[in-house]
Amino acid sequence: MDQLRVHVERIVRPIRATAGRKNKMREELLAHLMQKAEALMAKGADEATACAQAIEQLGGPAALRADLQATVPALERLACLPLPASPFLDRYFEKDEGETPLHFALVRTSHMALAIGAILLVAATVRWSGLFPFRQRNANPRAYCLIMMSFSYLSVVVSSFVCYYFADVTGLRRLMSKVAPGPAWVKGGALCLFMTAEIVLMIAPIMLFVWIINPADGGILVDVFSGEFGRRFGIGILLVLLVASVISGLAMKYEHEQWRKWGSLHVDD
Amino acid sequence: MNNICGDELRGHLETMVLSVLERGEAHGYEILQRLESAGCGALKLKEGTLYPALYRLEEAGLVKGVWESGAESRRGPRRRNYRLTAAGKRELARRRESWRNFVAVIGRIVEA
Repeated sequence: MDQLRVHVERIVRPIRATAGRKNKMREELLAHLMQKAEALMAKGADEATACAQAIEQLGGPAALRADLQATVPALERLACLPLPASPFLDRYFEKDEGETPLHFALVRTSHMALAIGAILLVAATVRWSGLFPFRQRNANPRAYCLIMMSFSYLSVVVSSFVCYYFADVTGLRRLMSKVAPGPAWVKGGALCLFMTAEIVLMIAPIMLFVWIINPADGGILVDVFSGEFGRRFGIGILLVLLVASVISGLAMKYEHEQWRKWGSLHVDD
Repeated sequence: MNNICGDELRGHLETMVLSVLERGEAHGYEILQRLESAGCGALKLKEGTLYPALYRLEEAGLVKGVWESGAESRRGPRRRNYRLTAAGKRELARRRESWRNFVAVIGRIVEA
């Protein structure tokens, strides 16, 4: 019956829709094909013939895919454009054959450094171009902000490296891998643990640094937290980051379940 | 009886689905069986085309799909049972009326 599953995946995988909608299509089409094949086998066909006939009677995959795609609302279609980075993200916690923990941690940290660097660049542009919407009380001099920003960046990069390295050495990396076997809830829990550790390792040195160089200023990350914005939303942002790690864990659990069910199928179309 | 297939069915499939669902809720495969038995084997439908039609009807609020619960489900993937909504019943009545009118007018011309 595996060929039925592969055929369903061949039809549904390229459809641009939310995962929930695609799973609904997958389950329904597979249930249909299985019932059809079972009915044909009850009439005396062998399994291979029954499956082939069930597939044939369902119709061509391209036409059916186009019909199914047309049932997806335009906005959802647009929102579900395939990301070029998807295959990369699917294997984010996978290692190449013979790759050392040091190499793994360095490569992943360099990705993280680029991403965070881009975010900081945008943040700095917003902050100093006058677009930042909150009034800064006792705004710090630019030199101080630059020191803070550099230290924050360093802290993020080092904490990422430490987390990736120890994740690999301790086996947490394998637990987080979407494509490696293992219970989905363990994968979700492992990702949640990893992200929480990374957030704590990221924030703690920055807070300590601020406290050492300027105890009177409770600012974190370029005096944002020392101004009105920080007082209003500082704790909220930390909470959001922690909640995000829990949500990521749950998302990973779901993603892994889907991967095991459908994503791991080899579909050549 | 000659087979009716492909383009001849296009445009009528949704009305036929609403019509067979009037007899009670059913999942996709059962809907097809009902269509086949009602069509006395003359309907030659690519089976996959049923599902886009069901999704369109569901989106329009004319049918409501509910996943089979674990207890009633057999081994294998879950099935989704569809039933007519109140709006679906009204729409079916409207389409029947429209169909009778169509047959009466076109029939007179073709049979003449």
